[in-house]
Amino acid sequence: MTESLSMAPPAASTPAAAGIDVRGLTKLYGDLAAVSNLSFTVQAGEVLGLVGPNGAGKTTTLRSLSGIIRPTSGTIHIAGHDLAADPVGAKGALAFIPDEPHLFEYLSVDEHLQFIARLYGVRDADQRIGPLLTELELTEKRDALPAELSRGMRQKLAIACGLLHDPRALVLDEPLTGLDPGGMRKMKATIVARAREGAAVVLSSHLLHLVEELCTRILIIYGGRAVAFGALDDIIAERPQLAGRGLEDIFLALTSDGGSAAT
Amino acid sequence: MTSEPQPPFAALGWLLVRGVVNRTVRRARRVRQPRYALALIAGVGYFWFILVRPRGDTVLVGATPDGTAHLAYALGIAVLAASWWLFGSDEVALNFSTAEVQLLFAAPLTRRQLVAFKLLQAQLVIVISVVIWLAILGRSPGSMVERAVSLWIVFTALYLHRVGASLVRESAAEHGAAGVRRHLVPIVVVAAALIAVGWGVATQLPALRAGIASGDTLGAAVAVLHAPASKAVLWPFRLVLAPVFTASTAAWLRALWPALVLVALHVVWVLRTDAAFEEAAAANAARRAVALARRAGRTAIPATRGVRRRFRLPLPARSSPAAAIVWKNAVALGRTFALRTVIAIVVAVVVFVVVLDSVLPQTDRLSVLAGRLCLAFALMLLLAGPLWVRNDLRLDMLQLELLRSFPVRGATLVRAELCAALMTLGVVQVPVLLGAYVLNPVHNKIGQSWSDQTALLITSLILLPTVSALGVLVQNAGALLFPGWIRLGLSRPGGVEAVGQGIVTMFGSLVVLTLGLALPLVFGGGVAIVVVSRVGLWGLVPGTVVGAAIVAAEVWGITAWLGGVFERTDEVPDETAPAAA
Repeated sequence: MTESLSMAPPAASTPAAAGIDVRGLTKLYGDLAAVSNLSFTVQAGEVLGLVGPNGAGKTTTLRSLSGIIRPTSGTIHIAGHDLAADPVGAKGALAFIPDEPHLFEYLSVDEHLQFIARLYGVRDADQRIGPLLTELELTEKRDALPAELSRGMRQKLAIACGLLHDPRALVLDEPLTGLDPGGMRKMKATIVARAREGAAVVLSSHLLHLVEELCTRILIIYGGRAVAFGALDDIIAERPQLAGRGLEDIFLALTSDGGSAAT
Repeated sequence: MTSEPQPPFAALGWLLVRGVVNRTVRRARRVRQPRYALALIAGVGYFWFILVRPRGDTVLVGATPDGTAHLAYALGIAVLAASWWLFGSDEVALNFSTAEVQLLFAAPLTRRQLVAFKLLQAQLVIVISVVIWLAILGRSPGSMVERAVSLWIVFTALYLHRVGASLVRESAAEHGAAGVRRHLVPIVVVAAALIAVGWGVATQLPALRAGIASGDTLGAAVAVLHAPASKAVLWPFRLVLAPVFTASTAAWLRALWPALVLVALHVVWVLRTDAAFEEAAAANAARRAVALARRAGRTAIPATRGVRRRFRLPLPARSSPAAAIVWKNAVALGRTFALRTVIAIVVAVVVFVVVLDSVLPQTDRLSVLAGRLCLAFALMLLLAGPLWVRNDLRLDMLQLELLRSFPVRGATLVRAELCAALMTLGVVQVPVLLGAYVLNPVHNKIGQSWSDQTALLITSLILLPTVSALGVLVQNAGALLFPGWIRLGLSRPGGVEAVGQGIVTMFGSLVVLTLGLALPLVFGGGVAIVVVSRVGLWGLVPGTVVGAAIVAAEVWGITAWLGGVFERTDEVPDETAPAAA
């Protein structure tokens, strides 16, 4: 929480410059607005924490960012590519790691990575796969099918698939789910390392201490709307009544009784 | 002597009714989508056409005056029943949901009450199955009520027998020799039946051989069915089926009561089995919960069964994303192709050849028989190939979320998915056609020259993949547009309802396929007729090329549209509830 950023998208920020640029994102399911007019920007090298209670619209936001679902309105740019107009370019620069690892049950660990390499046009796949498997402690499992892996191992494989093509934008939904303490530590280091290398990272989690530890800015959503956006210090500065409280207290104050503490 | 607690029938009955109401409401909501509304109208129209439309009686069941059809159907269900005893069914017959396992197994209910609850619950599926099969089988003599009751008896007896067999197998697996002893009577009955079948086949073998030698294989098979030994073994199965095959109400009433007695005996048997099925049912419920969640895209826990690792296929170092998808699906087919599918194909081809053999003039040349096999297989592939080979969107739709995250255009992805299935079919079709050509099965029959045969071969080499392309396209369009109606992934829904739904879906696919082939047939056929009149059979080739070009244009256009549909599909619409989270 070192930067001081305002809730509105920075005026100087352009879709081309930002890793992830979201403007006016709205997703309707019939009459229900899962996400309503959400705007935020994640610069290269930045880690944005996306938090909100169950049903707030986090997963819908993440799935919209990754091109899995189409927004009802609004624009999303990934590394300068308009997701609606140039979905191939945008998705090619992005990695989405869901909370439940989605894998092909008939491909082995190694084959998953080979397949992803061809899909994303990774030319030096053989040089990358070995170290990645070592880093994620999957080397001994490279010939295993997903059904032969534990929940944590499957999560690691999904992470490996996401990182293989060096994405410029990284979208993570509960990335620590299923990992053992060692795996959690490595995952946190990986997120920080990727951000330092210039990736724009969106991290969604209910583990508020993780968000507080890793994220440079925080976006709190409630009822599909942003109720707070910025560095933790800025969020507190805008709400003097929350001074001296931790993220958990701030989160509860902003997302209870209709988010009355939101400015 | 201990007294059992009173069955809480009110609560269980309420559970059943609410389940039906809520499920119906959920399905009705889906009809708000125009495509499902249109499909529903088409479905209702079909049922009206079959069930309500006034017309003369037709017998689609296949009843024959000598009772051969009755015996053949009895043989079919006997084989089915034997497979339940010998190999078990795919899933435990008493399918409990995870909620039922957690709430009912922990509730103060006896095993017998749980079994009774499931038997009652199964009646809903059986009634739906009866309606579907009434439509499929068409009109027969007698009233619709008679046919409905007859079918209900057959399905109920089959269901009960499957449950009983499953419970006995569970008990034997759980308790070993003690379990076998506990269910000695049914086990002895089944063993005796199997021995009787073996004895029946052995005694009829000389007659069967003589029939085949005289060129009347079909006649010999019918004679074997009518032999006293076969009739004796098939007696209980004929009893269950008897009401279906009666020609008058009086005969139906006479056939009804023994069938009902058999059903009643099954009910008593199942309720008295009292096998410890809870553990198997709980494990099965967990598997089904995962499968359902996978179907709805809510989880990606992989299947633990049906995937073999031995099959390997190299992935070229420099390949496009589309080629990678084709490779992935080829690997999928190699690892998921079920042995029983191969067996089914072989059995189907053999049956086809036996029929062909009894229709065509006889020859003792082995090569001709092999040629017929190739020809029969090529024809079967043309019709059933797109249904058998499913390494395309039908396999991948459950991973929609993953597919949608790929940096690939929707149209490219759909085409790559189709390519995988088409290439698989092509790999089989081409050698089969070449085999038929080399073995030349019809040469002696219609006096064609090798030149004509070659023209036919080239025509077939263009025609078969062309028709297959449309067939695969129709199936994939179904998976994308009506995922609730197409079997997706590796799951194999069982039960008569699933079979009925599959047949209705196949009927719809055939209609769409026919429409797709209309234009190519008109133009390609026109060219062929004109050119054949001048140059003979070689004229078929340009006609087929024209037809194939039109099909290619159709496939290209439709896949472009389906690509758009894919890009707009947020989730496999198994659920109607919004996915906000």
